[in-house]
Amino acid sequence: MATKIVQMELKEPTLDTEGLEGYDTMLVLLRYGGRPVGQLRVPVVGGRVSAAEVCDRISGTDQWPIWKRVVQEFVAWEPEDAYPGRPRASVVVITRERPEDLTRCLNGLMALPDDGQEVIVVDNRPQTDATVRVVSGYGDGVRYVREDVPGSSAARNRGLREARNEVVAFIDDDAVPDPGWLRGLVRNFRDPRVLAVTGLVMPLELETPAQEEFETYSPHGRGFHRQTFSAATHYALHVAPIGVSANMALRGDIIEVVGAFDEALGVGTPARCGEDYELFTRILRAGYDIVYDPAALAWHRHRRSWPELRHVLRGYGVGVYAAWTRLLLLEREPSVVVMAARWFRHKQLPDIIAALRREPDSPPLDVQLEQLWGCFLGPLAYLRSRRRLRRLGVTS
Amino acid sequence: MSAGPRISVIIPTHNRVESLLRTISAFERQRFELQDMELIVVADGCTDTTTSTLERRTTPLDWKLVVLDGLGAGAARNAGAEAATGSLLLFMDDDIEPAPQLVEAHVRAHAESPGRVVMGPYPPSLRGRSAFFRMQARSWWQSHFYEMSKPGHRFTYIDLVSGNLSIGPEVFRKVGGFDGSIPGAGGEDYEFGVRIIEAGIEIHFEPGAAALHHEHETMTLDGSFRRARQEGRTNVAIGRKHPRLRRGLFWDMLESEEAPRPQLRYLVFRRPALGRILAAMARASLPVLELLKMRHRWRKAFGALFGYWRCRGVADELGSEAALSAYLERSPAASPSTGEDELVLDLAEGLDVAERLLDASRPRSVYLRYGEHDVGRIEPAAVAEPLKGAHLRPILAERFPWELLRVLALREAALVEPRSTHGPVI
Repeated sequence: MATKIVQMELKEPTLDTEGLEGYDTMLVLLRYGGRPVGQLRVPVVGGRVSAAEVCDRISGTDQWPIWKRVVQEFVAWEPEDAYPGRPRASVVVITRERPEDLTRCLNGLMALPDDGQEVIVVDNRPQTDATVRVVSGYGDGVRYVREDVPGSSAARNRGLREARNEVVAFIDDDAVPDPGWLRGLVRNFRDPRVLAVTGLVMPLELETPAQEEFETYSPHGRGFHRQTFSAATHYALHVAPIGVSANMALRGDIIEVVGAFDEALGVGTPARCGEDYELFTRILRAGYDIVYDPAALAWHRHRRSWPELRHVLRGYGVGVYAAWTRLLLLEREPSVVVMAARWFRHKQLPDIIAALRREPDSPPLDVQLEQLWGCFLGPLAYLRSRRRLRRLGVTS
Repeated sequence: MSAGPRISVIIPTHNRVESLLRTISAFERQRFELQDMELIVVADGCTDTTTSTLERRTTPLDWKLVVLDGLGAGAARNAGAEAATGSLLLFMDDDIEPAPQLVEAHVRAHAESPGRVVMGPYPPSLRGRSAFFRMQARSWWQSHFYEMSKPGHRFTYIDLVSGNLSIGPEVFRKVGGFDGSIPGAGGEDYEFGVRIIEAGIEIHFEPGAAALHHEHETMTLDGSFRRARQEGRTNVAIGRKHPRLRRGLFWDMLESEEAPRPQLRYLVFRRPALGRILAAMARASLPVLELLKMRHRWRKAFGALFGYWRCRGVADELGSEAALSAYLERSPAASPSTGEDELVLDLAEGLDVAERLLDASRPRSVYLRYGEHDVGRIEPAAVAEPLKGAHLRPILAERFPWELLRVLALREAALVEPRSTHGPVI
């Protein structure tokens, strides 16, 4: 039960179709001229995939992203890259006690083309000096900052304040950037309405059932079409389709425009996550835009074990409801209630019923119940998190 | 060069003394020799303390005051230009605060290529969250300036906004200045834009000539509906002056709104009483929708109201639906313009060659081919600058992707055919 992840460049299509013992599926990321344009899954039979099957599946995918690149390469013009020069970026990596993941992430960052970016590692409430030791291995290339207020939100705010450049790109320590990642994010900030950009997240590995389930049930990727989100074209409270903070960039002065991350939300707080979600709604509700650009690709290592998966998905439930609690109580957005009801009616309930009926491809019941339980805990968790912040003496 | 100052800043103003003083102080802080600059304030129908405050105020700038009787923004700018002695005219609205390098950037842009019109951005100064109406207005302005800043943007008359615009006095006189017969403010700059483009004058957008628009101090929700009505009136005034633009002007104006056009027209012209009641109800619903954070319904209601008031402005000028039909009838259809200045471009010769050809002949429309295959036609647009090389790639990528794919596929097929004995690609 594992999926082999490979990449294929459509301009010179070659693919290793053998030696896949131990895998039952192959996930192929399609690129055209280096740009991610699509993905497909092919069954592995007897340690190999059939080339004819791959060709067949390519013709079955949504091909518009490929054709669009063909036209853009012929014309040698792309709206986002038409401007001379590009804004400079600060890359912020939020980490806590994950030296191996962090090393892989930093190696990826060091391999990016040099556009004058700086790299900052924010170590959130460390217990050991593992992160310091990793960072010191990179010399002047990486700046180390220690943030003692617990929470990824506090760490991100610290990163925003430490950053010196016009754009601040965030990548999680358990993710690895693709060579085109940073440019893919930064190029979208020419438009003054854009305050945030998110990118494509692909799984780094799918070796365990937990990782498979995560990728099926709650994938981070949002497809291969570039999209602009605004309150004029999208429902401003429904920001899940926009993307995730594991791979995003913000305009450097965002704190002055719409405010900082809510430090009561996020990993490491009782609210568990949701700080990105809440900030995205705030951006849209303030009349600004968010762009999703699949040219900015990062690879994310999903949690390997089943207990970790359950823990993460319960966290999502808590985080989403915590963010909604803020929207309802502090921002006075009554339609949150409607949204919660719709989510339950159209997604959560049908999924649970499908799992109870043991329908094929239905998400496992334990994971779903875990998330639902998280939703139930969310509102109180948020209020508890705010009280905790006040005790810590943090003003939000 | 004349012996006068290098640049005359002309600020038409109407009862906004506080705002005007902020604009003047910003000119005193310019990164530009102040003795090379002259300031002309045109107080148009001011009933507040504008004139007395200005007369008491000391400034290092060489300045003049022109007093008018409320003739409208266009007439005020003309009167300012009349009084100006500089070798460049810079029109600036009284609620706009220029950044310190603004004058320098305008002067530099004219030095690079004399005889052009230069516009700088002035997005609203209010950032972050505020009333729905303000956020929508900010987004509109930001988008307006962003579109113009794109390399390869093809300017049309609608791009021309006069809040931060510079032009040489000879060019200004050659096109006849602003139309002083258009009263009030709103839309008179579009009419100026029509004549600028028809005279073949280059429009240049200069991001460095930046300013901030303190729009939130001067524009209210109801003010924007009054402005919409004024734009409707101006729309007819422009159409009377340029009959061939009538249809385009009228439909362009209503198309930008979300309201269905036939219904608006029906309400305004045939059921005016019902129209008034519905408009009053829609207006009363806006604060309720905003309180309930019902963004989409608010946007719809606002769009419908805005379209309604523009239509009302048209009705103010034309009176009846019969008059509107007659007015639109008398607009000759967009010139078919086949032949004459249409250029045929063969993309197979390379896009660089095509760009050079466009730059050399500046046509209004282009027929695109790829070898023996047809790609399509770039139609002549109403009051847009002639095509140039830089326009080509964006137009190809955005308007002709399918057509290009077709010819590229045909080309590939022609190349591959003789070698089709190869197996599958993988």
